[in-house]
Formats: sequence, C-alpha cells, structure tokens
Amino acid sequence: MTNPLLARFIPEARELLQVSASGLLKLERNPTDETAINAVFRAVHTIKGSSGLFDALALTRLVHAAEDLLGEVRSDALQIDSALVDMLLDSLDQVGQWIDALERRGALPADADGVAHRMATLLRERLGAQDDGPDRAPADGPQQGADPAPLADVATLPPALLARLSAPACLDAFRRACGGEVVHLVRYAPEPGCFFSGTDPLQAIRQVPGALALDIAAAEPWGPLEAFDPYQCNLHFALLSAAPRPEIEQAMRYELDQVTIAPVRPRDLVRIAGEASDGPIWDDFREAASGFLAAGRHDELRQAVSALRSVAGATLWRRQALDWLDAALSAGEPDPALVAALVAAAGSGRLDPVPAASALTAAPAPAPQPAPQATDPRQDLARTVLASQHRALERTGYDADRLASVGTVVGNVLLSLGRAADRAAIQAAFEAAREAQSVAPVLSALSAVMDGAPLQRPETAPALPDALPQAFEEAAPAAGAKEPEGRIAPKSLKVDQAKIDLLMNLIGELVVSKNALPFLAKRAEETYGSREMSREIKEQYAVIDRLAQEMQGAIMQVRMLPVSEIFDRFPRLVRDLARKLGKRIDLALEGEDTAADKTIIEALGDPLLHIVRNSLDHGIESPDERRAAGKAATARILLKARQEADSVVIEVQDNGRGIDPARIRAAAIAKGVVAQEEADRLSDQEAINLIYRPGFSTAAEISDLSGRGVGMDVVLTTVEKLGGQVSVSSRLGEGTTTRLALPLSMAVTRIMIVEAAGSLYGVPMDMIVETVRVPRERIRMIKTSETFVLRETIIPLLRLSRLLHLPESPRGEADAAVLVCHVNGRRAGLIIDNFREGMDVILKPLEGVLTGIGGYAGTTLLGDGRVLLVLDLRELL
Amino acid sequence: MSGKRILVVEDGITMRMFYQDVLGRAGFVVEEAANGVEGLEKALLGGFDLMIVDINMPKMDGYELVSRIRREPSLQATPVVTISTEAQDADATRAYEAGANFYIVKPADPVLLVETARLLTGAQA
Repeated sequence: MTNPLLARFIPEARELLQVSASGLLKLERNPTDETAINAVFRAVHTIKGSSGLFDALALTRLVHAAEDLLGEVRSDALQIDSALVDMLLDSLDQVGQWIDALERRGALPADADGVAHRMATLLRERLGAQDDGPDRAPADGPQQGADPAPLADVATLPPALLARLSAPACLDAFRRACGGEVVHLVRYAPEPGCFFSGTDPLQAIRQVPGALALDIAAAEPWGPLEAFDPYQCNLHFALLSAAPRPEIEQAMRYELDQVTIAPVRPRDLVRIAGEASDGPIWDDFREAASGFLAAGRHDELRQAVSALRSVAGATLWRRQALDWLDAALSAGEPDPALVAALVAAAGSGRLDPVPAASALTAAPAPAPQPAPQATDPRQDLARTVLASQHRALERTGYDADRLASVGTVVGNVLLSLGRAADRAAIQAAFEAAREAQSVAPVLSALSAVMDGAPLQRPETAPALPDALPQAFEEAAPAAGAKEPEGRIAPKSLKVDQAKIDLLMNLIGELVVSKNALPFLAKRAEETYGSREMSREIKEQYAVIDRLAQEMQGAIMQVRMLPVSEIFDRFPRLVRDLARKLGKRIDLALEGEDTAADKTIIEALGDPLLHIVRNSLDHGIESPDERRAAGKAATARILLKARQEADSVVIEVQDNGRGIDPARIRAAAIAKGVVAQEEADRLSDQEAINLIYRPGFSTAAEISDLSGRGVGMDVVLTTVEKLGGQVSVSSRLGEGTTTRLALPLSMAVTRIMIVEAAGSLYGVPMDMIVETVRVPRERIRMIKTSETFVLRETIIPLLRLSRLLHLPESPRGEADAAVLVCHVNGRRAGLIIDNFREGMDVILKPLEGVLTGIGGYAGTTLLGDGRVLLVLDLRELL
Repeated sequence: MSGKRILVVEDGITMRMFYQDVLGRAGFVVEEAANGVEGLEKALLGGFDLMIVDINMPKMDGYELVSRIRREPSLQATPVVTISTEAQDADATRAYEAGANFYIVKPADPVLLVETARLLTGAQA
C-alpha cells in the first residue's frame, strides 16, 4: 500500500465500523438511545466523508445509503428494529470486507459496484415514502405558480424548460445573477442503464450545491404502460445552481460525461406571467422611468418601481415585470440594457427579445459569456466568495462582530488577486460602515467590486502585494502575537503497532545491555585496579539505569490497551450466536476501560471467545427450559474486567444451568480422562476442574460453536503461558463464573540472581516477598521438615539445591540465606547459598530439546554474556 | 511558501491527513484539532489566518464552534470555512448564519481547497 492517505484511512475506517456496529447493537436494545444513534451516525458519516478521497465509489455509495437511513432514524422519521439493524450490520460487514480488499490490493473487488447497488437499494427501500419518486421538487423549492406564459427568448435555457421552472426560483436566480453571482445551468442526461451501475441519478443531481431550481423531464415521450421498462432511466435533469463551477463538477464528478454545465445570462431567466392590464398609472410610470433611465438615476427609478409595486395587483403581468425590474435594480451596478428592457416591458406590457450581441456588450460582468471555458475558476471562486460575504451581511444586517471576519475575507481575497486599489476602497467602506453602524456602505462597495470592471487576472495585475501594508490586520485584531511554532502540540497520535513493538524490543535490549556496566565496574576494580574508574562507571550506571527504567515504564504505558479492544466484539458475537441457537441473552460489559499490555490483550481474545461460546452453548438454557426452571426467559452474561494489584482479572459470569459435577465425572470416566476411583475421590470443585483436561468435552453433539476440537484445556494452556490463572466456580442451576487473572505486563521481568550449588539462578521478583538471613539455631525441625518463624508465622524451608537435585554445599556456621517466596497461594522459604543483584531481563523461553524440562521459566543473558536460567517456582515448589 | 497558518477542525483522522497533505504542500502551516472543543482551545491560543471547520463533529459541532468563534473578540476577524458532506442549502445557510465566511462540500477538490485557502488568507498563488 503506497498511498499514505489510504494507509491512514484503513485503520480509521475499521475503528469507525466497530463503533458503528456496537452502537447499532445498543440501539437495537434501546431504540431511543440518543447517544448511540449519534455515535453511529457520526461514525458512518466520517467513513463516507473520508472514503470520498479514494477511488472507492461503491463503498462511498453504500455508506451513503446507510447514512441516509441513519439520518432518518436520528430525526425520528424511521423506527429502528432488528431487521434494520441486520441490514445495516450486513452493509457495514460488506464495507469491512472492502476495506480489507483496499488494504490488500488498493482497489475494490470487481463486483463491488453491483453489490453496492443491491445493498444500497435494499437500504433505500426502507426510506420508503421519503423518496418515492423522481418528480419531487427540491426540498426548499417553492411550488410552481399558475400556467406560465412563455415570453422570453432564451439562448441557453430552452423556453420549454424555463416554463417548467418555478417563477419564484427563477426570480431568485435572476436576482443572484444580477448581483454578480454566476448562476449555472446544469443539464444531466443519465445513461438509460445507469441503475445497473449503482447510480441514483436523482440523488446525484441533488448533491449539486447551491441548487435554486430543479427540473426533471422525460427524455423520450412515455410510451404505453405495458411497454414501460422501470429498469431504464428515461429522465433528464436540469438544475439552476448558484455554486461555482468547480464545486458543481466536484459534486457530479462521477457523471461528468453525462453533464453539461454552462453559465446563464440574467436576461435568459426572465419569465413573466399574468393578466394584461392598462391604465394611466402605467403610462405615467413609463414616462417617469424612461426619464430616470436616460439620466442614469437608478435610485429614483427604484423608488418609482417600488411605489408602483405597492399599488398594482400582484397577478398582473406588468406588476410582475416590476418585480423583475426591482431585482435587476437591486444589484450594485445594474445592467443598463437589462434595466432598459424591463422598463420597456413594464411600460408596454410585453418583453422584447434583447439581441444576444447587445446583451453581451452591455453587460460583461454580471453576465459571463455562455462559453464555460471563458470563466477562470479562480476568478469564479473569488466572485463566489465575495457574493457569499455580501449575502451573509445582507441577511444578518449590521453586526460589528460579524463585520470583522468579512473585512478580513474581502481584504484577503482582493490581496490575493492583487487588486490593491479595490482593497483600499473596500477598507474605506468598512470604516464607514463601522461609523454609521450600517452594512450599507460595505454592501454597495462589495457590489461595486463584484460588478465593476472585470476582475483583473493576477498575472496582469501590478506586482503590489508585497509592498502593501497589512491594512486589514488592524480590522482583524489578533489576540496576541503569533505563538512560536510547535507550541500547539497534537494531543494524541496514531502509531503503527509495529513501531511500538520495535521500540519495546529496543528498550528491552537496552535494559539488558546496561546490565554489562556493573560487570565492567567490577573488572575496572579487580583487573585494572582502578577503584576510581569503577566508582565512576557505577555512577553512570545509576543514571542510565534510572533513565532506562523510566523509558521502559513510558513505553509500557503506550502499549497498554483497554480490554474494550476485545470486549467490543462480543455484543455482536453473542447476538448472532444467540439467534442461531434460539436463545435469549442479554450481554453486559463492565470495566472495559481496564488496561493491560497489548500482548496480554491480544492473546486474551481467543480464550475469552471460547469461554463465552461455551457459556452460550452449554451454560445458557433455551427460553422454554429457563421458564420451566422458574427463571427469566432472557439469560444474562456478564463480562467484567478489573485491575487487582498488578494483574488484570476478567470474569465471565452467566446465570445458566451451571456445571453438574456428577455429569462431569461420568463424562470424564466415559472418555477415559480419569479412572473411576480417581473420579470418586475428587471433590465437586475438583470434578469441575476436569473440564480443563485435554480431550474433555461434555457436549453430546458437537455444535458448530464451541465444538471446534478446541477444549477448555487450550484456554488453560494459553492463559498459563501468559503467566495467568484460570478458575471456574459454578452452582448447579444458578450459573457459572470463569475467572481469568493475568499479569498487566509481561515484556520485561525483574529477577533476583541467587547462588545455589555453585551456580547462578534467576528468581522472578514478583514471587519474592523478602530476603532474610536466618541464624542456624532458629531453624527448627517439624517432623522431617525444616521451618523457621518469621514475625510469628511458621514458614516451611526448602533447599534450592535439593529441589534442583544438585549436590548440597556443606552447611557452614554462617546464617542461612532465605528467600521468602509467595507461590501458589502460600509462603515458603527457599534456602540458597547467597543473594546477588537484581536485574531486568527479557525472558527467552526454553527451546528445542530443553522445551520439556520443568521448573524453569526461561533463560536470559547476563551482562558478561553468560546464560542465566530463571526458575519457575510455581513448578518447583 | 505562504507560511499562513490554518487550523483544521475535523474528527476524521484521514480527512485531517488530507488537509495536512494538500494545504501543507501548498505552503500553509496546518494545525489540527479533532473536535469542536479542542478546536476552540487551539483557536484561542491565537495566530491562525484561517480556520477550516467540519460540521459534523463530536462534543461540539461545527455550527456551535463557529458561533462561539464569532463571540470571541480575539477570533472575530478570523475567516472561517465550514466543510460538510451535505450539499443542502439549508446546511450552508445555517453555517453562514452561525458566522462562517464560506461553505465547501466534502470531499473538497484539492485545487478548490487550496484556491479557497489562498483567497481567504490573502496568499499568492
């Protein structure tokens, strides 16, 4: 995988899928859980947003469909149920598989489009009446008025199309176009077979931003109903959009070959309908308006228009012409030809076609030439940004807080375009606005900038910007001087696990290497006779030792993972298995935040899975059986984690039928795991423990869940390999609890070196309670065993050399060195020859022919290169 | 290199990397925040020429963040671009009402994104 962005996306998507799945399960149990629906929606939403960055269209489509559905659930328009959860989980599973494919091959499988289409269609079916047909007007589009009278001569807008668009929407588009925004006509003719490639044309065209009006028409006349093919798309779409061309292209990027985008001239949008009327007021208006128009007195013309509008009937054709005229005049720099045409229309009662050539020469700025390639995207974008500021100010009115950022933006846009003169003018307008507490000066200055001389291209602009004072900095009083770089450090960081593992290995090596220094110090003193040098080495060693320990602790912290890493997969698993088995189970999780080293967490997954499966399969009864036993039909499984001292304890509790010791005994005898007499001797608890014996399985038939040839013995082996313990307690008819206790970390072991029978051995520090020297006379014999009393407790004594079957060193008169250990729940004293230093080591397991030798936990290297055997006291004692 | 500083507030880690990549290569210094609360905290430390704010975020969404930015005297003049997967006008209107200066639909075209950032920070192409 070479694309780093994709490498980042894959783990993120997996995590979000996990979040979504667990949220969905929560929702299934509690459909009104607002936190859960929000979490799921956001996760799916984020996947959709990020997936758009890659060539994974099918994935984006499917996630999008899921998001739409979740949006309906979130807004309470749709009730979530199990079937819906199933569908969504299936979709997320599919997405997960695609993520795997992206990781492996960097591309989706060939069938992805078809699969996405099928699944997205299923999902969208649940949206039901929400999305029932293509004939729906855009959500906020006003309803079309009375039967329109086609009047206008349109160049890029066919009259029939214009006639179908709603009049208010056209007027809105017209007003924007007059105000300097570029209004585009987007025509989209989807391929008839587009449904089969997973395209939803309506959805696609609705993605176009800045939509003002949408028209959907049949491409071919609809034939007789019996010949109708619902799998063929027979629709053409036309959309008026105020968004800049790049944004439209971006929204339609997958269908660009079926799309044409062209700017629309304001004149082409004019559509007037209504009853004819006549009378002296119109004549007066025509006369006055012509005068104002000739003198260029637009303000007075506007007053005349608004005066007449307030008295003329709203349904009159001429009155509607005034509406358009008013819109044309509301622009900062009205287009004279357009205004003249509309004045004539209102005066005469009909609209004369304006020759295209004159419209172009008269109105260069607000009416860009129809040829789309004539517009520079940068200029287009700048104009859109400025128009957005204009609109925002218009809407909010005077607001000093608001004005500041608009000032920065407008100043910066002009600076960026190299229009220094305009910048100065705008700045003056902002000052005037602040003084007058009104946005009017800014609005008109903005309109002037947008409508005035065509925006200069940056390359032809005078090279001023560098010399330009940062005039807008004062309008933009930043709180303080810029902070030095790097001060704002990111709070968290995602790192590849392999890097942490490498770091862990390196620190392990460092910890071991530093152990060479005390040997060096010893040699400096003993071989080279330099006590001074020896002392200095020891000092340095102390520093390095402390740093290494701190570093190790820090890395261990990084490696700690919460048990939720493994717990999180259980809700889904239990749900699916319970359904399969026809059982009803409520799974509860507790203490998911408890953290342990990643090796522990990772290794725990399988044993835990096995225990839970066992519980589901054998422990939990069917609902009928439970009711018969007077229990609630829904069983309960509790997964609980907590930290106890330096170990993490995980319990799996169920309230199922419990383990019957008699059945276990019988099964164990039948399978030849134990002999009859041994079975009879076992206590009930010991009988239950038989389930950990290899080859034991009580299930009458092997189900496909727990009976995979893996018994509880594997659980035991795995956990013990991790240095942990397993125990089971069960009450017949009430339930079973399995308890796993594991060390928090296992990477580096602290040991103490001891001498016995002339050799050195390591003893893990966590087993050692204390070291004492016991005078010979205080060692007492009880029966045949040696003991001594430590703070009023009798401690049995064992000789290490004897345990290891080594020749015993002669007992001197000196005090006995005793290592007090805590092993298997009791204390014992280990008599050794001498204590040596403690050290941190990385234990290497015994390998090859040594594998079978009991009593040793592993080996490690000493600083001088010698191999040290580390004892496993649990086995020895 | 423009050296203009942009704060990207976005909960998607991949999207953050995308901004970092696209805007960083265009010469911007890009800082990141993973949610609205973090975004506001970082913004208040000051020194940003532009903020790019995702709408759909945990803890504090984009609308809320933008309106808080506009209430902070030290941040009022900072241009804010909101970015969202929703192309609906209603969402854009809401963003503008909250105090945004521009609204972009996700996934943003890299060229458009860089151009917008240049225009809004006054940087040269």
